[in-house]
Parts: sequence; structure tokens; C-alpha cells
Amino acid sequence: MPTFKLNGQEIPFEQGDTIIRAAWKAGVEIPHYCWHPGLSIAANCRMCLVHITSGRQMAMPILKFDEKKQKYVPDTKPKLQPACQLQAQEGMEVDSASEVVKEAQSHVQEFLLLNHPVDCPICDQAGECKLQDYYLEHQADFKRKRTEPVHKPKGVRFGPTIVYDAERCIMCTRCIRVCDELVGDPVLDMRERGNRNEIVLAPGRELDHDYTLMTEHVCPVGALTSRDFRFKARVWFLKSAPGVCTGCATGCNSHVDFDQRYGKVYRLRPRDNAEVNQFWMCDQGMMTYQAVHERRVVTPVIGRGEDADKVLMDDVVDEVVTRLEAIERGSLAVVLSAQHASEDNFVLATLAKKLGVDRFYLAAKTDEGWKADDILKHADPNPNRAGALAVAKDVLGLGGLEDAGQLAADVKSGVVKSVVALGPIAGADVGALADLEDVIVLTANEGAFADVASVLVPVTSWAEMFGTFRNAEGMDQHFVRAVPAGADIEPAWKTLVAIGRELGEDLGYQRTGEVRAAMGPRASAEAAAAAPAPAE
Amino acid sequence: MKVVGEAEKMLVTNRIFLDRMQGIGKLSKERAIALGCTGPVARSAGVDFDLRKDEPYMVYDRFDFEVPIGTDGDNWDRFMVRMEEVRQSLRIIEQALEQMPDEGPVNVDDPRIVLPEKREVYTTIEATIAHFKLVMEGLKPPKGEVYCAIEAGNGELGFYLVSDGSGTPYRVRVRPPCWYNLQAVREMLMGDMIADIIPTFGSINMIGGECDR
Repeated sequence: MPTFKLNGQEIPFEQGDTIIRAAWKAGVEIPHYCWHPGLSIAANCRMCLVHITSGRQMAMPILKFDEKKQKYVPDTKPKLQPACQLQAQEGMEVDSASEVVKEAQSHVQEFLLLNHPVDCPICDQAGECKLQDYYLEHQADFKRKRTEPVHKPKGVRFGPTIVYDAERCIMCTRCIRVCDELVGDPVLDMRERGNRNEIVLAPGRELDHDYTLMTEHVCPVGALTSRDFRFKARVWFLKSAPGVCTGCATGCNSHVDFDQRYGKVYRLRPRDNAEVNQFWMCDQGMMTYQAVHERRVVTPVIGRGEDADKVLMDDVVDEVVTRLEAIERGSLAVVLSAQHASEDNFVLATLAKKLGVDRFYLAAKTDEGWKADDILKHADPNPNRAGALAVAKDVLGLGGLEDAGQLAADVKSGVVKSVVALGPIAGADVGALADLEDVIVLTANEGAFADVASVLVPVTSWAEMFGTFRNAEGMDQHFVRAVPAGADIEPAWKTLVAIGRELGEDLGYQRTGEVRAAMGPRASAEAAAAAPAPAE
Repeated sequence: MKVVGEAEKMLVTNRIFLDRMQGIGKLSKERAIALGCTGPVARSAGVDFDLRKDEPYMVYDRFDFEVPIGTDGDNWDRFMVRMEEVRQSLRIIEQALEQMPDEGPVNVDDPRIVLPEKREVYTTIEATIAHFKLVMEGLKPPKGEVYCAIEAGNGELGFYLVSDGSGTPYRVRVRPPCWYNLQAVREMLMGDMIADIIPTFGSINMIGGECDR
């Protein structure tokens, strides 16, 4: 691989790479605002200017203040070039830390802060703002301008998700490029010039496509803020855990940002993965974190309606065991979930098989409002259909599973007389189950199954456990626990192991790693490939 | 200075005080060095060691002062060394007041290290940013390690710091004087009376927080 030298360090590059991209791949940062690895090159912020010290030198005529003569005199300085636009060449020598470059960076930074409002105390970007990060590193000086800053519109509503502040904007045009290039919906543009510059909406339009939060995500400053996250948390108090989006079968990688003091998830951010989601996530996916805190099932319940009793976790496990001992296994249906982790599905299937159950179904979300696209959104709005089907194949030897609609039909016809179900979502009308004596539901959220449950067992949500989702491509992606679950609430697989132990079928798993080891190498990629997408 | 003289006169003419001080709580020069004692405890035993003289830091090389040294390392010498240090400290303060400029900024002029003025923080974005970064992320020393010590009232107070380049230290270790001085008390007291614990312990001037580890 050809290389060039950046501040004396050898940087490898592929033909066609720009200097900044090659450095970024090698883990070396050249300061920049407008460049983004997933977007086209704009070269308008001028922060990434570098000095090419090899080859023919270009000089720029300048006027320099002479202290002795007390006046400006003609002089020259090296011509700097933007690292984001200049293609790397074999043997090139690049300097991004010389005095000339530092002076240029400092002046660019001074320009960008020239009219910037004193907003840090009320700005959501504070703490992850490039203007802040670069100020101490590359400027560390006061501006020379002493006049009133230019004022521009603040708090402009761009759409249902985004608010724009023109005074904070540095006109890097990243948001415009996201709309143009990622989404293909050129709804944003720029008007005026110089310090009157601002980002505007196309006339008669709102910022309302499916990737509006990506404009906020790429914004290097606090100009675009998410209405969902605005004024909720300070980013330096947030910690981050790697997650996998539960919105659809694409399985976009995310950062789950949570505050450990409150055990609360505040937002998701896309986590770069060139194989899956590149740098992006869709709006619906970004909002899936809400399910961690909204419509949660936290109290075990035995019975329905007026006879419902709220009980303790130990009691509900005893109740499940008592009922399972009495239930006739031949008419017991076990429902796996395309919304739950492979670990949960694996333990449920394994336990059910040991108990002699042979009726299995798969509950999966069928959302009418969900529309697939060519960017990230997959037609199947379930994160783990492939994983659940792989479990069915590996553990149960089943090529496919009936859906919840068939379950309801089998209940009506009397074939199924009792149900053990995983997850909140049924994906079909399961009202018929309300007539059954024993409907045991393990779930984190309220939903169709929880409504008809006669024994409701709360389990952890995805943000409160370690787990695996298999996406539509057949990739097993692990996610990591971010926040603690409520008192006594365990992952579904752990609760099932406890139930199995009482029933005399001890699976013996105590840690996620043991379950994963028992699942074996998840190589049945053909099961994933064969996973049928729901009809459009 | 007058009060110091009066206090000293009152004590050194007191028979009970002399009985409790002279020849009590002895520490030899060799043991003082071996135990890592510094400050008045070591100097009273004859160890000529004072960071202000031996490794002058800040502006101590500009001041004219003496370092009192004892001979016996008993309570009496520790008392006398401390009394003399009070007088020497007064000399230093007088010289410092004389040399201090009457006006002008005293802090380093680098926003990466020093918090900006409050007035600037409220009105300019640059100072606001500097304030935010320094308060929330902290001062960022370059990667590496450093040990820095000063002569505190009880001896060498040193800080060992390892930085990974971030705003929080990778490792900090404090070298407090009393942690070392206190362990010498056992040897000082051996062979003396129970009642001697009180004046001997008092002459060490132990700071509890330094020994909490």
C-alpha cells in the first residue's frame, strides 16, 4: 500500500483517498468541521488546512505588520491546502502542526467564533461541540473584534424533530449534504452570504423525511438540536454502551447514551459500522430507546381483570412452576419472539423441548406504519426474526414457525389450551387467548400478549441485558447492558432457567457467556437467508 | 514577634515543661533518615534538609533566611527548632511583602491552564468555552509523569502524578510528611514513661488526614 508522511508519521492510503480520509483511517485526526467520512467534500470550513512540504512550494503574497516600522509591509507565506480535498500521493510530505498551519487554524477558529452567541450554558451540544473542543486546542486566544455580534434567527422549527439556531451555525453544510446525498430529499439549503448566511427550508416544506435526526447527528455545533433530547441531559454526565437498534431487521449499531446516576437512557446515536449502517440510523430507530422506559411491565401479576394480584418475583416464579406442572404438555403452545434476543429464545426453546412441548409459534411485529426504503430500513420491523428462526432450526429442528394469527386460530379450534409466550408484541389479534386459563407471558413492555396474560412475568428490556440479535443479513450482533433493571427483574433467559430448575430441568446457565457457548457457533446463515419477509 | 518571645519565655522557665521536654522522645540522626522523616522532626535530629534551601522552588531563592538545626532529636530540640522557624517565617513574610508588585495580573496568561475572568465568561464565547472545558474536563497536562514536592510545615509534601493526556490523572500519589514522621514516634517513646506520650506526640504535630491510607 502506498504511503505518505503526516508530521513525519507514515500513513498508508488507497488510491483516491484524500489526506484527511487516510489519516482518519489510520486514527490520526486532522481538525475539521465540514468534512464527514460519509458525505461528499465541501471544503468550506478551512479548518483542515495543511502545508504540503514536498514538491514545488507555492507562496502567497501577504501584508505583514512590521513592529519596527509600525506599518504593514509586503511579505509572503506558504500556500496551505485543504486536507479534505487534496488527494494523497505516494511520498507526499504533509505538515499539520507547523507554526504556519497552527496560525491558520487559530484564525479560522477566531472567524467561526466571531459572531457566536454566548450559548454554551443553554446549548445541548456543549460537551460534544467541536467549537469547544477546538478552541483550547487550536485557538486559546480572544478574538480581536470588539463590536456587537451579528444576530440571526434562533429557535427556528425545522420540522417535528429538529430546531435550528442560525447564530450557532458555522455553515459547514453537513446537514444539507445529509438531506441531498443520504436521503435524496433536498429539503435544506443555504441563503445569503458571509455573516448573513443561514440554513433554510425549501419553500412550503418541513424537514420531515425519515432521517431528520441525522442532520442533528452530523451537526458539529449546536445549530441543529433534536426536539426529543433538547434540555434533557448534559452530555458529559452521559455514559455510553454499544447497542443494536431494535427497530428493524437491519440491526443498525448504536451508542446507547445513559445517565448512570438515574439508570436512564436518554438517546441513541449511530455507531459506525461499515458492514451494516455506515454512519447512520433512521428516525424511528433513534426513538426505539423510549421502549426502555415507556409502557414497561415492572410488577409481576397473577390473574386477570378484577382478580389480578400484584405479587413478588419469587411468588410469580413459583406460580409459573405450579401451573406448568399441572398443564397438559400436548396442548401447550410456546411462542418465541422476533423482538427478543437469541439468548432468550434459545433458553425458552431448549426448556420447552425438555418439557416435551411440540407446538411452537413465532410472535413478530407487523407494523402497518413501517415503510422500508433503500437506505437502511428493512421490510421486517423485527430485530431478531433470523435469530429466532435459527433457534427453531438448531434446537427444535423446525424449518419455520407459525405466526401468532395461527396461534389464535388454534386456540379457537381447541388444539391449544395453554400458552407460554415471550415478548410483548404478538403481531396479530390474540384476543382469543383471554379465554384460556393459563397464559404465561414473559415481557418487558405492555402489549397484546401482556393484555391477555393470566400470569405476567416482567423481564429486562434489551438495554438492561447482554444479548444478541441476528439481522436480516445473518450477522449475529452482540449488545451490552447499559442501565440496571428494576428490583429482582432478570433477563427472560435467566428467569426461564430458574423456572426450569424448579421443574427439575436444570439448564445450569448462570452467565450470558454460558448461554452463548451452549448456542454453539451460530453458523446457520442459511436460516437467516431463508427468513421470509412479511408481505408488503 | 513580641508574642512569640513572651510565649517562649513563659515555657522555657517552667520546670514541669523542661522535665517533659529535655531528653525525652529522642530520635537519632541515622534513624530519622532511615525512617524517611523530614521537616522539623528530621532537622531537630541534625539532618540538614530543607527543600526551600536544597531545591529552591517558586521564589524562595530570593529570600534571606536561616534553617535551624538541632542536635539531640528530643522534644526540646523539636520545640526549639519550631520556635526558630516561626521567627524565620516572619522574616520571609516581610521580604515577600516587600518584593510583591503592587498591582497587575498574577496568574499565567494561558486559557488552557487558568480559568478566565468571570466578567469575560458572561460576555464572550471564548471565555465561556474555556471555562466549560476547564471545569467539566479539567486541565490537560501532557502525557508523562512528574513528582513535585514543597517544604510544608511538617516536612516534605510531595505529589506524584501520572498523566495519560486527559483531564483526569491516571495515577496520583501523595507523599505527606506526617505519614513518615508518625512512624518515628514508636522509637521515640521506647523506654520513656506513659505520660511522655502526650508532649512527644504533640511535638510531632501529626495531621490525621495525611496518615489516612
